[in-house]
Amino acid sequence: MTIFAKAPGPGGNALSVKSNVGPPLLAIGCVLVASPVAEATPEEGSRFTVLRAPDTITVGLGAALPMFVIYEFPGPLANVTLGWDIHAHAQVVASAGAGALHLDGSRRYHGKLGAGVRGFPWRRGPLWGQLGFGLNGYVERTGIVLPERRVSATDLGAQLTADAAVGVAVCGWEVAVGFDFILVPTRYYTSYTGDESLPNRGMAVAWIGRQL
Amino acid sequence: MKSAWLSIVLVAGCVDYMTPDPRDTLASLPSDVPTPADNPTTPEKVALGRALFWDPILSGDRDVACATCHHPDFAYGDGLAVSVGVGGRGIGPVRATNLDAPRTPRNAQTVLVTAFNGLTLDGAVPAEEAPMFWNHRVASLEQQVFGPIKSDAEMRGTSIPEEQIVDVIVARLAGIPEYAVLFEAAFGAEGVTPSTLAKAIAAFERTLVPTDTSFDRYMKGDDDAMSTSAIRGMHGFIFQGCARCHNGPMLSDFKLYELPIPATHGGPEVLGEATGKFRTASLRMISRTAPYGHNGVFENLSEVADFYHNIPVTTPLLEGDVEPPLGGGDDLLAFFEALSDGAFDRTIPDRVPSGLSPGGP
Ligand code: HEC
Ligand code: HEC
Repeated sequence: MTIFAKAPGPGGNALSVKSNVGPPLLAIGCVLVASPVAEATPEEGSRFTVLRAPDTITVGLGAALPMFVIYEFPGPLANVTLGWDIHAHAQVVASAGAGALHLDGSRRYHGKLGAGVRGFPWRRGPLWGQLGFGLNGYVERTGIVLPERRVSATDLGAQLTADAAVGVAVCGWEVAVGFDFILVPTRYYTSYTGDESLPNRGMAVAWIGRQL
Repeated sequence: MKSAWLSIVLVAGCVDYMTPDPRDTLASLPSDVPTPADNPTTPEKVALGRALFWDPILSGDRDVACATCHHPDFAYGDGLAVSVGVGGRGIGPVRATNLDAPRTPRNAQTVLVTAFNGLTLDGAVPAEEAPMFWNHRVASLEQQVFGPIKSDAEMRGTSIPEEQIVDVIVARLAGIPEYAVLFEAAFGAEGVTPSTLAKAIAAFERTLVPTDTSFDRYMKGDDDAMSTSAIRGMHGFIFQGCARCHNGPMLSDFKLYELPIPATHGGPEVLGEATGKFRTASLRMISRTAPYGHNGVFENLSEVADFYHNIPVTTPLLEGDVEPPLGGGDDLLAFFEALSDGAFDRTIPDRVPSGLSPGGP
């Protein structure tokens, strides 16, 4: 569901596929973001009572190592994760994150809204594992100076991802690693026919978080 | 909409421009085709050259024409890993069905854009010196003509010895009144000679230059000509080091290298020779000219990208930073498409002066 900066050039007929995928993708994203709120609604109120405040708020700083076509270097990543206790061993989490990636001649800014379930093998234990979904959007600018002209392009895109992460939390600090696996890729990766079905498989992430 | 767009641009900051080494840059194709002083292109020569290019009369057994292996339906290549001339029938992959027919040792290059062979960032070479074939063994389109005519596997067959074939063909042509007229119109009193035969075919080949591709139009200033994906592909192409060899207007430095090209593809069949030094292939029209490699071992462009990805890092030629992603990605393929979408002459003549079937049986 790439939003076009300009009319698509050759190969732009993927547009129809893309706009079919767009609305359901957005809807899934919205439902996901809203779901922890709905599930965490206290039993005494109606569905419309004031949202319950999260039980935990964690802010994190880390790095993203995307497996894009041309990126090899990690970029900075910041995220905030809200958790609502639903069980002694489980939390529903919602998160928002943003980051940037840089290469000679290419810069990508990406943001993510995610939702998922975090499980604790030990009640209030230090270890946790998490599964979720995310809606990732990005803006990317590419530029090359050639003798004949300056080459540049801006690309806006969005992907639906499934993510898995594991972490350790002690004394209000957490260390976590995860992987965002691309479920619905941005349009440029949908027609690939080579040895791998998707060269842009996803993004490895790692962060250190502090519970507020 | 415009303001939303503006704010996004602000958020994204300014573009970070990569400035490649001056030797690793790309350029659009000039419009002037280099032509030898003694063979200026004229409509009469082109008309004659076209007839000759399609006429199987140029082959020993009157069964193979230049167009048999350089056919517009296959972007003036033949769609085969290695070519089948004598002993084949039809056009394209069906020719390979006669397993007894001899194979050429190498993949047939397209004749589209060969008019510019030798053009690099240093400029064009004189047309008399334009390098031809995978290993540059012949210079100029005019001289190239005699290669396939003399080759037993390509056109000559076995019935006429190599030393005699050119004279035999000149005599055949001189005996066909329609050709006598065409040669006179193109070359006046010179008439039918090996030299005029070659000049006419070369003049026709110099017209086989596609119209501006998306890449050329973008380079000449049309901002909308290339898709974002293709531009990202171009960035990856230069960033990954491909333009160290595939540079300039032809996307070739016209130098010879020995890359570790595999000998066979999957099955037991042995393709053409695997080793030797070969020209950095031009990537113009590349999306239209599968299979790839001097022995045709790569069926598609993703296989070529995988080849570069998996090349041992110890290969001295590729020292540096040549590392495309496995599979190349759609961006790279979109860039290749932008190098290949020029329109070209697809004329298939209804008849040729010899009365034989144009392009061979
Ligand atoms: C049997 C198939 C076959 C026929 C017939 C044939 N060619 Fe080719 N052509 C090839 C192959 C194979 C190559 C590459 C050979 C090599 O590099 O060793 C080639 C290469 C060329 C090239 C060089 C392109 C470059 O970029 O260097 C030109 C030009 C060309 N052929 C023109 C012709 C002309 C003109 C005729 C007719 C007189 C002709 N060919 C007949 C198969 C054929
Ligand atoms: C060291 C110089 C060099 C570099 C660097 C290089 N190439 Fe090549 N390329 C060649 C040569 C030489 C050939 C012909 C190889 C052969 O068949 O023997 C070739 C062939 C190709 C072909 C097949 C063309 C055809 O018509 O068969 C493609 C596609 C290609 N290269 C793409 C790339 C890409 C993509 C990169 C960057 C990842 C790259 N090349 C980097 C020298 C180079």
